[in-house]
Amino acid sequence: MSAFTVNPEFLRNARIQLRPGRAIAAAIICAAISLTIWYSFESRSYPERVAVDAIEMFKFILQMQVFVLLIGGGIYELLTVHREKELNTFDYQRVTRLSSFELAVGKLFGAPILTYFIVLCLMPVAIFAAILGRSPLVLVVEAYVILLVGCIAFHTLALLISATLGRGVSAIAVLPYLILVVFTSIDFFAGQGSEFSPSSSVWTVHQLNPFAASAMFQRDAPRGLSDLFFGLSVPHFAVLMVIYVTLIAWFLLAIVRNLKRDPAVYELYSAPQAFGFAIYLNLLMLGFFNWKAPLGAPIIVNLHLTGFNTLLPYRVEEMLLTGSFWLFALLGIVLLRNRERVRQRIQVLGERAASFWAALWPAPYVLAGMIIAGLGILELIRVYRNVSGVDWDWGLALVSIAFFALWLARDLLYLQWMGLRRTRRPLASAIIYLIVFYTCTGIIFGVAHVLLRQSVAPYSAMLIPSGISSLSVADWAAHYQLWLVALAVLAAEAILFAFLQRQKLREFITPPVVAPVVTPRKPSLMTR
Amino acid sequence: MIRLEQVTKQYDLPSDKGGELVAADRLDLDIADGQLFGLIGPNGAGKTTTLKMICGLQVPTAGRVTVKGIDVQLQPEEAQRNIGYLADFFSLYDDLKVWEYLDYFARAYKMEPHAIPQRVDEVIRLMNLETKRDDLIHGLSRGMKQRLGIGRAIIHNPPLLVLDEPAAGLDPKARVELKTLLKNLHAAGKTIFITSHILSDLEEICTNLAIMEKGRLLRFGTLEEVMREGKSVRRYRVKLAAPGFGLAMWLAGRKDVTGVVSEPASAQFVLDGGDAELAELVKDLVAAGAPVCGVNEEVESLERLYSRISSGEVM
Repeated sequence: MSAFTVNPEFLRNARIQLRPGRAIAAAIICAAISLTIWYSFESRSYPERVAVDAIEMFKFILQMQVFVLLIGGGIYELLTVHREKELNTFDYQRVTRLSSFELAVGKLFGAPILTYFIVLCLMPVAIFAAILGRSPLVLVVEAYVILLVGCIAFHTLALLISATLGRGVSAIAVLPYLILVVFTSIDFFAGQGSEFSPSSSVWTVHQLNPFAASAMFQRDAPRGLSDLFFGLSVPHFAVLMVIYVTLIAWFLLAIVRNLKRDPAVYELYSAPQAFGFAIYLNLLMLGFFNWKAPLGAPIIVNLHLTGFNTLLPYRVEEMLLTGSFWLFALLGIVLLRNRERVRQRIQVLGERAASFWAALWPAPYVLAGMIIAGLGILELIRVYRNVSGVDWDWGLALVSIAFFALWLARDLLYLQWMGLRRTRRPLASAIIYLIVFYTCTGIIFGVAHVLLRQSVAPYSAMLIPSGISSLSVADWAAHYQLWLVALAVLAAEAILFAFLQRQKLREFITPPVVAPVVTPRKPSLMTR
Repeated sequence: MIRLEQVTKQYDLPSDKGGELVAADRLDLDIADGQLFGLIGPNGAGKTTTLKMICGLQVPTAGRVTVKGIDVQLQPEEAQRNIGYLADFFSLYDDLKVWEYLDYFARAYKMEPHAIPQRVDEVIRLMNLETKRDDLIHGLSRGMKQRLGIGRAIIHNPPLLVLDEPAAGLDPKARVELKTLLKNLHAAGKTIFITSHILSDLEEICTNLAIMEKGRLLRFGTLEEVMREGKSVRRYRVKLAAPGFGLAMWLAGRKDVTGVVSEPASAQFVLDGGDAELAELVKDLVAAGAPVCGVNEEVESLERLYSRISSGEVM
């Protein structure tokens, strides 16, 4: 407790948010809600259903607590640094002797302190319901640990978003946060224990956000849920804890690296750190893929599900490569340099900062990442899938990896080049151009059935190489020369954007544009 | 105390507005301990950028800033412990009480916990906010908030205060109070680096001065040095005991006199020469029968000098 009371930022938030008037009002509202819930339980519960109804009541209160802490607390976190920047108070915090870590921890637990207080106020009725429902103590404790640690993980992400937001965009930031909450509410492993087999799920992990706390009390899984990691059964609680704790560490690392820096030179992660994070996320994705199940389309006979077709290995590769593509795209975007950072590098490195190797940034990392992830996927396909007798060719599989890697490298080199232009929001406009490009090209390819016509599909791959993933071995054998030419063109496009980036970097080397001289300085007045 | 070595800061202008803005252009500046240093310049001259680089809030594009010999970029936290900073557009935590606000920053500067309450009370007293100690900040007047802001800047007793436009938006009474406060802080040994648009205030309190425009330092030195260097010519005023003598005509007839301005029973003029030439002129004037009762050199105000420098009249 003393760790919090001696943290000035935590104390400041507590003083502002927990003023007696506000705290008493929150406590009264919580008491009213608790009594209402209790009354509705009392008025409809039959003696023989008391335990069952009490558990339902407990789950309801738990979900309410999660909602308050996850959504309410998250919004507080999203605003905390951003609002201080808008009010011009953040600079005062930056010039104090508080370290970035102290400041981050103070904000992480201080900004949403009112929501913690509300959760605390709802605890009496929750505990009462848990006792009445004869819930195992271990499960109750696990549920609250998920609630607490899970919300901290989400809050850390919200704090990171808040720290990186530009002026006047706080409202926009709430949307991706809410989307993430909704996305992680999906139970990816919903088939487990149902009348269907576990193989009906692509992923073998249950709900990932703190609402999972109430899912611990499912009647059909009295000993708690479990997930499969590379086919091994692991308690869902343990999985959540590992994911939450590691994500808290990754997000805190980014916050602590940047919080007291000049926002113009923010760098979320160093290149090795970002690479490590992307590899870690890939590992999670591959680990929770349902490797052992066939995962094909359902076989329905007389309106009854009788089984599943086998998902062909090349479909598995396509699915996972696409996942890796997005994870490394995120890595690449984190690594992009803005003009200020390029200026700093030029100051330190001189000409070397505008060499051709420098102009390949950030391609080497995403290429290496995609290749490592792709080879990992192939190795897992070799271990878990029988590729003999199916439409599978190792050469095609390797070329697919090369296409995905070069595709991503090309787009990131384009973004890096465009991001160095001298406009108001160069990266945002570059991303918009990219979206327009994919939308228009996608529509044209779709209307012209380009991907279905194998004789022209390789030409489309020069722009969007997604067709490679749906290529049959026979079509590959028939047109592989064309596909290899498309691969070479893709590489040439990447080099072209690297060349353009180099041109931009060279502009930084040329002498700076200096404001017109009004009057020359008089050396006689200098004090040194 | 503060040393700037070839400090440059470039910003991007949108492509339709041309190239890059050089907010600070190879600044060299050395501010010694105990100076009350004023930095003046129009909006957009680069004053705030310079201040922020001194405080470690912005990274220079090139060059080096040190405070008490500590490199601000390499050891920002070490350097910042010596700095008390007040921004131009400042805001306080309105939901905190006055003492809580100062207590927060005292803790944030890692003062000894047992010394904090005493220091908070001391600063409240120094800022003349005793009656507002337990009030919420949002109820304070603009002048009180400004004083509280300065109180925050000095709470950890830093040797250097960096104040950006502290007098902006204050009424005349609050400005007088602020000047007195700054003089007192300077007398107590603080080095103060201050920017202001209100040149008369700076002229009154600063020991040293710099004039900045378009990212460049046009002049700097002691107040006297800046004023003296700014003068390309010496302007004098001669007063007569009674009107009647054709003073302006007489002055206009001399070769070493220009810029004669006639006034009732007096005249202003520019003399090409030094004290000896002036003595000669006065002697001649008396000999010509003029009832001279006073000769004095016209003192130029900082405001006038600044406007002449920025308009390019003075090189």
